[in-house]
Amino acid sequence: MDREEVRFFQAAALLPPPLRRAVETLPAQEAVGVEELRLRVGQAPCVSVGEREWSPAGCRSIAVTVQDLAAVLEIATQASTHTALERVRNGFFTVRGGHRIGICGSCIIQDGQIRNLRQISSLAIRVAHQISGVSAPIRTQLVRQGQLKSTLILSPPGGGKTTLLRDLICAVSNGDGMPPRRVGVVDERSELAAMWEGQPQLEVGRRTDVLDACPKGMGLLMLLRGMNPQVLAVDEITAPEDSAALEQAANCGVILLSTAHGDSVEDLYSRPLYRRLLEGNVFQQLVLIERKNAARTYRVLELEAAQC
Amino acid sequence: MLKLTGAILLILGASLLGLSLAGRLTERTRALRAMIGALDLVERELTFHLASMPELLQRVATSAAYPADCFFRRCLTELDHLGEQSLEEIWIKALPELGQLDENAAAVLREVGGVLGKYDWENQRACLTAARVRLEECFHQAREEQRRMGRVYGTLGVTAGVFFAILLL
Repeated sequence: MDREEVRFFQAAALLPPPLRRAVETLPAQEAVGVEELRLRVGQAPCVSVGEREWSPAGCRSIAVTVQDLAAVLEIATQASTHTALERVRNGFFTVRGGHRIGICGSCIIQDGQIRNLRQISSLAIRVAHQISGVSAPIRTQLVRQGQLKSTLILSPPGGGKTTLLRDLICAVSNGDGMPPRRVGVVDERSELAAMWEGQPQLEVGRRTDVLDACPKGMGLLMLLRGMNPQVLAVDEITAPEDSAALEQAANCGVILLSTAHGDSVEDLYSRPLYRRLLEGNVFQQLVLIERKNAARTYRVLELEAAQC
Repeated sequence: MLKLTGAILLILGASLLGLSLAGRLTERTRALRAMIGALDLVERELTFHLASMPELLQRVATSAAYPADCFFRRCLTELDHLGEQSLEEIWIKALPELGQLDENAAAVLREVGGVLGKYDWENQRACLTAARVRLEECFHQAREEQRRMGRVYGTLGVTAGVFFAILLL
C-alpha cells in the first residue's frame, strides 16, 4: 500500500464502521487520487477528485444520517468537542494525519460571533496530500551570499502558496540546498504542519518548532521571545498586527518566510499593508507562482529589482 | 458433636451474610466518595488543560481512588472502539466497575456520560459541578445508611445465627 493509499484509508477511518466499509469499496487505483470524502445528510457518501464528484459503487444504497455526521465528529475529535470547538467556529478543523474536516450546519451566533454549529448538514473530509520537493527548482535562487533572504510567496488563491511555503520550511530546516536553520512556524489554522498530539502530521523539517492554533501576530512575538528562531515562517499575512510583528522580527535580524494573496508586484504595492512591508525592506525577494494550463511555474524576483 | 458443628456453621454463615450486606454499604460509600473526587479531577482537567478525552481519562485513571480508577481505565480502553460505540455508551457500560450504586447516583453519572465531550468546556464544567453536588447528597445519604444499617446488618446476622443455632440445639 503506497503512502497516498494509506492517507485515503486513514481519512476513511474517520467514518463510522458501516460508512467506512462502503467507502473502502473504492478500487485502490482510484483511492490514491481522492482529494475529499463528502457526506451530506440524506444522500450517499461521495468522493471527489478535482471537479469530479461521485459515489463509489458500495455507497450508492446508503443515505447519510445526522447521527453518522455526529459519529464522524466524535471519532475525529476523540470525543473531545471542547478541544476542536474554536476551530469548528472557523468552519474546519485538522485531525490526526493532517486531514481537514470542513463543517456545514446552522450557525449559533452570540454577541455577533459564531458560537457553535448545530444541526450539522454536511461534512467534507479533505484527505491530506503532501507534495515534496516543489521548492527544489528555486532554492538556489533564494540563497544569496550563502544566506537565505526573507521571502514573500505571492499567488492568487489556490495557487499552491502554502504547499511551497511548507516545502521551503522543510528545506531550510533540513538544510537541503541551503545552510540548515532553526525555523519557528506560527500555524494559526493548522495548515502548515497539522499538529496532532505534539507531532506535525505534515513534514516540516527536523529543526522546526511549531506554534499551533495561535494568532499570527501574537505567535510571531512568542516564538521570537521564547524559541530563538533563525527563520520565522507564517502563512497568509492579512492583519495589521501580523504585519507589525513581522516588522519587529525583521528588526531582530530573523529571516522571514511568508505568503500573500495577489497576482503581481503592482497588486501588492496597491495595498497599504503590503506596501509598508515591502517599503520597510522586511522582505528582500518575492516568489511569484504562475499557472500555465495545469503546470505551476515559480519566478523569483529581487525586491530592489522588482521596484525598478 | 454434629449439632454443635452445625450450630457453629449457622452462626458463622448468618454473621457473614450480615457482614457482607454491611460491606456492600461501605463499598457504595467508598465508590461515591471516589467518584466525587474523580469528577473534581475531570473538571480541573477540562478547565485548566482543556484536555482531550484520551488525555483526561488517562490522567484521572492514574490519579483517582479505587474504584473510580478502574472505571476510568475501562472507559479509556474502550475508547479505541469509538465509532462502533459512542462515549456515552462506553461510559454507561463501564458503570458496573463502581459496584452497586443506588438509582439516584447511577442516574447522575449517566447524565454526566451524556454531556462529557459533547459541549464546550464551560457547559461540561457546569454539568460536572451540578453532578458533584448531587453525588455528594447521595454520598451523605449512603454514609448515613451505612452508619445506621451497617451495624443493624452485622448485629442481625449474628443474632439470627445464634437464634437458629439455639433452635437447632
